Amino acid sequence: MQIKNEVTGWQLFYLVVQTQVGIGVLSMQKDISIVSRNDAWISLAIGGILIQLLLLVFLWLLLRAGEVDYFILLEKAFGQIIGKLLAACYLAYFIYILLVSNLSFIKVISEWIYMDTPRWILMLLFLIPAVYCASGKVVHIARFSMLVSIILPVLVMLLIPVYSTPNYTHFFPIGSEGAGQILKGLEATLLAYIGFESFLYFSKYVRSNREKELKKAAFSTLFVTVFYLFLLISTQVYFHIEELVIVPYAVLYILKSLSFVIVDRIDLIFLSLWIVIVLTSFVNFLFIASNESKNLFNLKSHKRPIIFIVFAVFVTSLFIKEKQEIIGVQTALPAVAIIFTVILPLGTLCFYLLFRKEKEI
Amino acid sequence: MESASFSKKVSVHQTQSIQELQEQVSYYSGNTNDLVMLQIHHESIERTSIMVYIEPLIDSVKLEELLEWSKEMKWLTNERVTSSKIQSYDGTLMFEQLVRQLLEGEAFLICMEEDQWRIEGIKIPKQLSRAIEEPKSEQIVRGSHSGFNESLASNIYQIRQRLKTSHLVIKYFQIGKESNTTSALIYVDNIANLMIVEEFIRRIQSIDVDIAHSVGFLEEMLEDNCFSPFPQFLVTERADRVTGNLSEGRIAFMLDGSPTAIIGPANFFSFYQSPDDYNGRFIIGTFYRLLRLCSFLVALLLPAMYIAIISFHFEVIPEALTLPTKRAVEGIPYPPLFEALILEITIELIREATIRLPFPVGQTIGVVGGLVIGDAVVNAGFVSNVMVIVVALTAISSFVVPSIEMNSTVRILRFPFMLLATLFGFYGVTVGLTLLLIHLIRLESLGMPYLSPFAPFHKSGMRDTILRMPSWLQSTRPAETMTLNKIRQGFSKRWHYANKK
Repeated sequence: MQIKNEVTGWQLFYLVVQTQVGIGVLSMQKDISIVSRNDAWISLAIGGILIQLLLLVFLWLLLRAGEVDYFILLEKAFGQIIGKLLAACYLAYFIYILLVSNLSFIKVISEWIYMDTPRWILMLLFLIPAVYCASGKVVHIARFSMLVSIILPVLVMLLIPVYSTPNYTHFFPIGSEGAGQILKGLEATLLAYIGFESFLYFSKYVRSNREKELKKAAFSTLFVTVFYLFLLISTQVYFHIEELVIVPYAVLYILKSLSFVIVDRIDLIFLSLWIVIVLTSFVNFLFIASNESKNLFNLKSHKRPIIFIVFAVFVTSLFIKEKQEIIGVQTALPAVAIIFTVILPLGTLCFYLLFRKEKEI
Repeated sequence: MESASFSKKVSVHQTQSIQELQEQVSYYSGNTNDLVMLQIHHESIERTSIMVYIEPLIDSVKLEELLEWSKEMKWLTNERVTSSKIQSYDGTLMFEQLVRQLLEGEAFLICMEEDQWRIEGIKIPKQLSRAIEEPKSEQIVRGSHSGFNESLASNIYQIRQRLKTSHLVIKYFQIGKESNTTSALIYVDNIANLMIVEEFIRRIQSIDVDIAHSVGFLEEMLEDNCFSPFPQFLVTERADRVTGNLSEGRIAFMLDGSPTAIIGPANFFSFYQSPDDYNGRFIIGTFYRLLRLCSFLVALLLPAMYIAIISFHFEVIPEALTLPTKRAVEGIPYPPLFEALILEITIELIREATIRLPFPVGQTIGVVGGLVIGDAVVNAGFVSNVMVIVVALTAISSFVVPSIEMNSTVRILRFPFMLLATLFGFYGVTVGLTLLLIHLIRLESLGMPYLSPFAPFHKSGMRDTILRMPSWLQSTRPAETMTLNKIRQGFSKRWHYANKK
């Protein structure tokens, strides 16, 4: 018997959530606070709402486009040559995302726990499970994402002790930085939310009861927004803004200072658990990228591209060692991400729908 | 060959005389010495007939009785009789078929009458089997104490006794080119998903072995992924466990000569269920089930976590414990992995040594191995006493699992985890766990997901996996068996609400 290669609405929900929640969670607080200062949470909330609205637009367009692969849609909308070209750009973008995610993860773990372990070993340990997971079927990845989501509430529970001595004055005066800074903060926010566009790519696997199931999954960003807001507010309640802009991984610092009766240094245990969360977003992107290259190069299976992509990521990561270089690699991300996650999908879907309508008339 | 004119004949009517027939039967059964051919004369009728059987396979008392009875009935009146034990054949019977039936404990009475062969097959196999007793590996406190034995007929009898439904289907398959062992596929046809049944049958039919030793031997050919450390069939010797699983839509497979049944599709959590859970109160059942599931994690991870903490993350230990731990570990000359391996291997040795020894000797070995070695090894300063605690706890946790297969899986799996912990600390352990989790998610039993109520997630499945809800609340069958007949029972507590009104 063969398992149907099909995903339910809730599975898609968790797929999107897990693609979004990754290594960004640890550094997001600092990145946003630098720009929006004590109004960081407003930036985060506005960013979340905007992306949620965008997802609803995607949903609306997708339901009209029917059950098609997004990358085939590219070809249908722009013709074969431009479509293929765009798909190749997408592949490059995915490899870029994978590279950034790999690099920043290795950066955190080698700064926080494994100062002396060679980076290539840490990378290999991260990439091997990723390859193993991504080489499965989409159902396996969806189940993995769903199962692993148990870790998210664990983080929430670990942060609850922060509220024993909260300092709410850190939020005031609300709006002191002005609307300009809050909107500027959106750019940093976007980095944390990247992954919401996986809704586009994974939605083709939702086959039965499509409209209802897709609607469930479209609200994944709402969940992520609430989760992120909780994290950000917890850190803002704990750290003064002047501290927050210096502390690189606020959540880890909080956990480091907390001490329980049975274990000290929960941050070490937590970071080890968080590896899995980072892994899921890596795996999901890897799966999308390999499936896209399967279409692009007319391959039979998506397993071979995985090896190539991971090898490319691994080798490139080996050459980017210095902290400044890693940060340099990331700087292009917001601009590129806006093109590939907002402008292009919207353009493609609208173009496709308009184009098709003309044809029908 | 006894005579020069001998040639191979295919069926009985090709032979002309009793003499020739005897030669043929003897040839087809490999001139074996335990083949008995008796010439039988009867005074009232003038003819010679022979009785053919393989002596050790025949119940001789019954043979005598039947002979007496048939003499009176048939040999005198010359009528052909059939009964549940006696079957008539004519000359078209193939010799190969005849010998096969001889091997199954059938005796043949053959005579020539008016140039026609007349053959009576009498089924009187000797049935010797162990008494029905409680399986040693699956003892329980409350509930039925009967287990399977080596006779397939008696095992099926036990199942039929418990499930008296016309929907209980038993399908026989002959397995083994040489051994011709009977095997049985057992399922309830209005509960089990017939697609899965078909898949099981397809796998059984593709088995091509010479001798079917035991179910465990065939299991490797039937399971989805034999390179996985996890068992993909539930193995049991208990009839109540088989019937319980049959009623949930699973399928059982048994082999003649093996007291074990394998049940599929199994999932990870079914290995942690014990009949005891259902025979006691549900709160206690739930508690022990949770305890068993925790023991899985402890058995798998405790030594690895300890090694990781000692060699990488000492700061995780809270302040009050730092000094005692430090003091215990300081004097040990070896790295923690080596220390753990000494003890783990010792425990494995003790287990392997005691398992085949008679009970009193086994206990002595346990005392010598456990107490004496454990104490001496700490005093000698080879192993820290914290490590003794850790390894002992791990060993106990690994034996909590009700299924022996899963128990060995856990014990094997903790070695790679220990290695990962030594090399990479918590990170290594997490990577190992992730790989294990992905493997479990991808693993299937008869095409059904192995980690079922969790991945894919079924809310209703929780009622009987990590929890054990009251039996009257478990009114639907588990989803992982893909049963079409989902409703198991009605609402049995109606009286309670009726009283309230």
